[in-house]
Amino acid sequence: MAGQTTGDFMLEEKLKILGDAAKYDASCSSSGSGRAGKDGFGNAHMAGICHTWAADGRCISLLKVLMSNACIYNCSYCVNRCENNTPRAAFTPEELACLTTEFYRRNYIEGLFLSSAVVRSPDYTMELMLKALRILRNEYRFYGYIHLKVIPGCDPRLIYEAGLLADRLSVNIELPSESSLKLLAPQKQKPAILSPMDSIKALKLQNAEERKLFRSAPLFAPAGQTTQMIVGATPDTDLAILKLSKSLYKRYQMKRVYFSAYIPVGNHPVLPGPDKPAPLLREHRLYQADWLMRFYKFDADEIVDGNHPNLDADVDPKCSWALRHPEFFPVEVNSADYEMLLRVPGIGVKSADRIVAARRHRKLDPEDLRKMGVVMKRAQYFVTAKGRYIGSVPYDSPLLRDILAERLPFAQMSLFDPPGAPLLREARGLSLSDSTLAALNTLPLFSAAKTEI
Amino acid sequence: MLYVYDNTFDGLLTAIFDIYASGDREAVIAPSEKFDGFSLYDTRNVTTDPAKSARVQKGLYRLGKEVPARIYKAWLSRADGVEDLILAAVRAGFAEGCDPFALRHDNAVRRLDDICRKVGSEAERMLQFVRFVRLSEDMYAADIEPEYDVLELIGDHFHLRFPQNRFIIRDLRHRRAIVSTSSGWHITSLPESNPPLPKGGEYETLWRTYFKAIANESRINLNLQRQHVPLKYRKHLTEFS
Repeated sequence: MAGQTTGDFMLEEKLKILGDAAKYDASCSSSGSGRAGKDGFGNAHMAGICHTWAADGRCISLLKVLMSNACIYNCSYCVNRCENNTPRAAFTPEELACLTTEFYRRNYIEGLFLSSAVVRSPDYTMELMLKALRILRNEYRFYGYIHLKVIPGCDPRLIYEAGLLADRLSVNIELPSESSLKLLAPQKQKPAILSPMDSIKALKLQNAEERKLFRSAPLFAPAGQTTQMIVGATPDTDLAILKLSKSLYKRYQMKRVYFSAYIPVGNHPVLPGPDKPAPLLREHRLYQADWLMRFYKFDADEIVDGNHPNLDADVDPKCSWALRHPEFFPVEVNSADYEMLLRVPGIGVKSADRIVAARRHRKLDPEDLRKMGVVMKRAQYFVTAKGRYIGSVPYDSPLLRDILAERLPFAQMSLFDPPGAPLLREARGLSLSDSTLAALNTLPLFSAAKTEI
Repeated sequence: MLYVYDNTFDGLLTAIFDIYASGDREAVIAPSEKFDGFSLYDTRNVTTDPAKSARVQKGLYRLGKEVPARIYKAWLSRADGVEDLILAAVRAGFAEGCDPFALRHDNAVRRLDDICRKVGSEAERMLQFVRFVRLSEDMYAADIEPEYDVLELIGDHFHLRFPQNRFIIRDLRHRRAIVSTSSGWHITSLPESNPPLPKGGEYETLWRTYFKAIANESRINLNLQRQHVPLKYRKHLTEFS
């Protein structure tokens, strides 16, 4: 194959450095595009395919590398900032194109995720990346997936060409607020980040119009645009983060907003020190909240609000919402509408679909719910089936929070148990706090159970 | 009555057709490969008839577009008793006049659906986990050992992706292989012993280097990794060998 590499050892070193430098980008998705071509090789699988999972448990779908990590900027949160003492390397466009196709042909990857530090200038960097993409698409006739990170501040004409070559474009918003940006990345300005997002959106709309008139008009970024922000480096609340991501979805028609837990890489006075662990739980909760907004028809204001500006660490955001809104529960699964089913903790999109399909044919009882794939561990406290409630404590019990947070052991009721018995059985021998014990004793169910056992 | 069919999907659907035609409510079905000739039931050998099979498929399609494909997927599992689950699900579907897979409260349907999804998810895993080795300029080969015989479900994907390559994907467990050339792909059977694929190519090394570099050492989570890449698949994965 053409495009010989510049010595094996060199290439391996580069791959090590530039792969390592790219690991802070959260996105890995290869979905949303159905590109295909007969004159070359490769195609994009609509649902995306993950090819393997790294030791950090994150999937590897694309060859995620930087074109270069020699940056002219000095953003405090970034490992590639120019003042940081880290080994520097850069691929040539030929090397990168060749490496991508060789990996692709062995089914290691779905395509390329190309990003870069800013070399010389935004335009120069974009040109370098576009050159690699041109080789891939035009020379090798490669139809696999390409995700290109747009360098803020580059010429809009370069964005247009990027959209014709890539399946997905993204611009990192980096930090959740303008003040944080000023503090940590003084060389990056909000307008410089938002304007390429605007360009991508406008170009995509224009392209959709063109394709209505001419079916042969070239596709512009068929898998849309995404963005990413760092969480935990600045004092921004989850409320601010979720509101921002909601407006990003709305205003720029983002396909995804990614969150990346800040991993200490520098010692700026305002940044968390290197001894602080990355806020992985917070990142996880933000993704759960993001899911609720995208697939469960929740609004950002419902998930967090002025009184609760941060997500609950104890329980997932859906449980948290349900606990704050006992007035909606318990839900009767045989009559509740689809939207309400989706709001029940333990019922997901798939099980809600199944419930709706199955209840057309017969009334469901509690045992049927398990067969639908409902996670009864959580759902038992929020549903009735044929009017029957099978939760081990009442849905308005003050203990529910502890149970859902798994501080109190969960226990499934069996047919022969008096109400409250499994809880007592499990709770025995545990060292419970006084307040929890007091709450336990206020339960009529519980004292009844105590006498029976 | 025990209906013994010839191990083909058409044979199974013919058996279902015959069972409906005879009105037999107590029928059970077994493939001839698992039937040793002794049964407490009266047995009948099914004569495979593509026309009957097509009629059953058409009827199933009317219940739901995905139904024939899902039943086929579940059948590929060759699980013990899968034929009887299929028969029960087909009966439930026709009785209710709906997609049988919507009736998950029915135990047979649920078990069938679970089998179908297991086969489907293993096929999906093979799209992820096939690792080719280059044998020559345009010739590639890969080995897999899936639990289920899923080659038929993955051939199109790889053929469309690499239309100009010649490649072979060997399923060492079921001793079958996909052979693909620019003109199409087919499945052949493999001999008992197969030569191992060459190891240690330049790009294999580069891939392992990248695989190590991309892991974020401050978020190591081997349990999560194991959930997604079960140990049983790692034998043929370049990055784990």
